[in-house]
Amino acid sequence: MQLIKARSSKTENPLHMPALQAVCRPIFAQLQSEMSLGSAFALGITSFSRGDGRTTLALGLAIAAVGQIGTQGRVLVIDADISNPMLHVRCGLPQTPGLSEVMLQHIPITQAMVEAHPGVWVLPGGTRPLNATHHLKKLEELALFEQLGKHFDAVIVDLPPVLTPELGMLPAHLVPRLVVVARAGVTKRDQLQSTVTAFPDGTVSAILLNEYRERAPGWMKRFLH
Amino acid sequence: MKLYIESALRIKGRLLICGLLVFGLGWAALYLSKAGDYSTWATVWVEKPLYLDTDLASNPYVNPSTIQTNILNELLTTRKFTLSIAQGAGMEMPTTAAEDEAVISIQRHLLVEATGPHLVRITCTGDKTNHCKDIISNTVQLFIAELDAGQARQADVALQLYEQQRTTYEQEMNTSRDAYNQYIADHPTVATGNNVIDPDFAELQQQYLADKGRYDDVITKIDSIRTQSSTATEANSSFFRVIDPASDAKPYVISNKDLVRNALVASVLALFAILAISLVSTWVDTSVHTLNDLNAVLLTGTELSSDMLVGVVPYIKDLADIRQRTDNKNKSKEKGSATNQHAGKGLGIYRHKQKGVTPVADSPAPKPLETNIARPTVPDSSPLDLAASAGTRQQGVS
Repeated sequence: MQLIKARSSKTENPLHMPALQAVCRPIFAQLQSEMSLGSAFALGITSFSRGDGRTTLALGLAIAAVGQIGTQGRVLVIDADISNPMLHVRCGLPQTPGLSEVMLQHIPITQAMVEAHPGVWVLPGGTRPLNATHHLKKLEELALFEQLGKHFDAVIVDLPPVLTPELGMLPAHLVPRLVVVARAGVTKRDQLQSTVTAFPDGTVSAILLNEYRERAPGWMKRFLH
Repeated sequence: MKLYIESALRIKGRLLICGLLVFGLGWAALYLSKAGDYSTWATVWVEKPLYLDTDLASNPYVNPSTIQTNILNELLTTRKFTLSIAQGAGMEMPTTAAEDEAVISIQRHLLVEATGPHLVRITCTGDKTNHCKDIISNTVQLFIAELDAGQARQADVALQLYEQQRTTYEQEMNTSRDAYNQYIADHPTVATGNNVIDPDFAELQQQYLADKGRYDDVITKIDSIRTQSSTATEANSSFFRVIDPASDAKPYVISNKDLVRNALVASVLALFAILAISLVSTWVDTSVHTLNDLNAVLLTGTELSSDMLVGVVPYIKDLADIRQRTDNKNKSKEKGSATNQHAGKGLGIYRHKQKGVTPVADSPAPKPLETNIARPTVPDSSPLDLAASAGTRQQGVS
């Protein structure tokens, strides 16, 4: 494996934000506690549309996982949104080589993974393929993410949004468990409902409300919540 | 209810501005509707005649001021009476349209109200200083004249009827009296104290007495009506007398009472505006904002797992800045990141139940992951031949 230094400034990289780590730590702990012992921690993150915070939360959960596991922990974040990859932008990494190149067997997977932060390995999306559906179908057949889960403490997959008609329900079959991200004030109720009900029963483990703003005063919280 | 409160809290800044705006506009409208007006008033003392039976139909349980106020207000709704006031006040009305305008103006700006059991207050408000005083004085004069005219009219009608009856009753009485006298002349013994009762004589006598009684009764009524008619004019002018005559119209000066009233009315308007906006914004905005919104979504989804985790990720300004820069590439990247104002605040992980979301008591203690005990390295040979390496790893673990 090669180590490529992140080129983005620390202030723009979610991996360098203690606030995000603090926010995601209890969420990761709860997700981890829901898992059965001995199973690989492979988690997919999706949302209804783009811009809801999938990539950021994937990195946040990854850094929280590393913080919780310890210095020897290894967490892999994969950008499976190969038609519109953004993970490399967030981490300040080159777009290629990535998952697309691995799928085309141009390079081994070990050469595409980058340690963007101590303990956090990133597999960028790579070059935008002409047929993303074919690539994702191949991933499903290989069960790549579950296989990778046996080599990492946790594998977090940044899946394409549900609002990608050409992909259909393919992303839901890539990982055993899903987290649906909704952006407060942006995601509509019917969109969220259609997103959650679109997946097979029991696949969605959690719904995360991103950019939530607490506006109620303290004395009113007990009544409202 | 919670959704409405949360919606109001979400737009509380805009609601506050809207409330202040409505309050200010309402208060200003109430003040400006009065500002620039000139008004004057007169008070009239009304008494019920105790010794003169001038109004037999009046309700003894209603204040005399209320009775007269109602009558005057009814009269003011008529064009003829109001036009008479305008003409008496000297208002210029060269055309019919001007007459209509004057009538409407008086009907709108002349206020008659009973302020006590005996006190009637007549207030005139207008945008000009002239005419107000004259309108009030003319109103009182014409009202008294109208009462007089009405009573005289009623008395005339009644007198005409009773005079006709009187003539008839007098003729009948004279006829029966003549018959009675003729019978006595023909039968002188019936009037000499004879104990034998003559039935014809008795009948004539009864007829005469009956006719005389009817005649006397109608004469009494005619006398009473004439008395009432003559005293009514005196009563109207004496028992409906002006205590405080109208002075020259003065411009409107806001009082403390008006201030409080305007503030209260404006506050109610602002409150209604805030409530309306909150309701509308809740109905219109179908976005997910809070945990209660999430809960509503989950409760409507019948196929959802009842044990699903629901988490909130607070707003982090650094991330919002990044998102904003990504969305708009033209913006400068030198904005930098601000402090993490909301880091860790409002953080929560919840479990969705059938009746709502409940906070998970405590985050579980960190535990070692069970998935990668041996930590084998990923094989470098084949890019996708991971199954073999996994098998190797599992053997190593066991």
